Amino acid sequence: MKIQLFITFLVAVGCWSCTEECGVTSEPTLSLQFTWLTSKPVFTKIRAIGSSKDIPSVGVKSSSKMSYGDMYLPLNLNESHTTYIFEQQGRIDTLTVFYSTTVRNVRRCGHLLDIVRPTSGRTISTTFKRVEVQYGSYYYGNKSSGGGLNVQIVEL
Amino acid sequence: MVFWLGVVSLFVKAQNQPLRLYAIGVDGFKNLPFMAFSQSETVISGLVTNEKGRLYNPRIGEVYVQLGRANTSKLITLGLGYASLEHLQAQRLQQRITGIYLKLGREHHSATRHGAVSFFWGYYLTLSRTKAEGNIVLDGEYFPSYTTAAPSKAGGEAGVDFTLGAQFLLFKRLQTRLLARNAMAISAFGNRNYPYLLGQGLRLSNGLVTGTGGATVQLFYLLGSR
Repeated sequence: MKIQLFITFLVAVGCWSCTEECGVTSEPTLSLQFTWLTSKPVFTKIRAIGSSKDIPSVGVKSSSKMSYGDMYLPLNLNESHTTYIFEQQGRIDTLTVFYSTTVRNVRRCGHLLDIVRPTSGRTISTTFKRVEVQYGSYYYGNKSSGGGLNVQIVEL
Repeated sequence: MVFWLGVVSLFVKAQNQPLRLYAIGVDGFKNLPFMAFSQSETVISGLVTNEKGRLYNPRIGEVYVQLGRANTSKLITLGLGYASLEHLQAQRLQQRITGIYLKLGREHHSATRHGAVSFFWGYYLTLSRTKAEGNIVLDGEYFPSYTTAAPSKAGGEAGVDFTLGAQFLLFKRLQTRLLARNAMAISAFGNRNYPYLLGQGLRLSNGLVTGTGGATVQLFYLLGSR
């Protein structure tokens, strides 16, 4: 009984900051968002250059609990950009997102990997009419609301 | 005046009875718990950081010498240790923690002769030099796996502990010692997020000052009687 109480105490103390997210902890995803002006199109196929397989047409599971979007797409950490090809009935679009990686030291996580805006050059290149990108941190916790990389397609 | 006479008499007495090498010893037991639980992610690591982790591939060794004066139950214990462990945190951060440490201790024993069983208590100062280096490794599902180096950190740590122990004479001069320690450590380390303090044990928090402790088994060879 004493041992069970002790373990419960340890777990309780350990969970003081259970909601924290320690940066990129698996293959990261960006969140893709369509505004009320542009209802989400029905993609027939989504490919990413350098990917070992096609991405499901509805996207993949988000790597971060704090990100918000209509669909999520994997990012290639081995390059400083990822290019996606979106196919829909009678139309093909491309979207290239640029980024940079950094290793930070956060008290409750130790060293963690984060994705940030590139120090120079462009941030996005696309055939969509109007697109905006936001570089949220992949660390969620004290002084960071998290969310990760978010791309908003304002106009198709 | 009486006080000073007392101090001087103690000093002279101490000078008359020089320190002698009483025993030499080793400790390799600290490897065993890490080997036994190397596959399981520990709650302890979750205390130190936000994520669970495990420690594996331990190479921890300590050598000791014990010095004492004739007919006294107090012994000075000096230890030198080396430790190297690997740490995997949340399947993303791989670290190797290596370093050396020095232990300076004062032990009070229940018996002044080689008894079959005897008990002791003491306090130790541990000074360690630790280096931690590692990689962040992320498995890829759509893209190749990614690896990048985490900055290498080196620094010093200090700790004091209270030790309780029992010792058993195994065979003639061979003695085994069971020790339990309760310690407070100061970690001046660049990154304080490593879960194991060399020479001291698993840390209970990632603050500058943390509680730590543990239990171990040592093997001593007695060189002479006190």
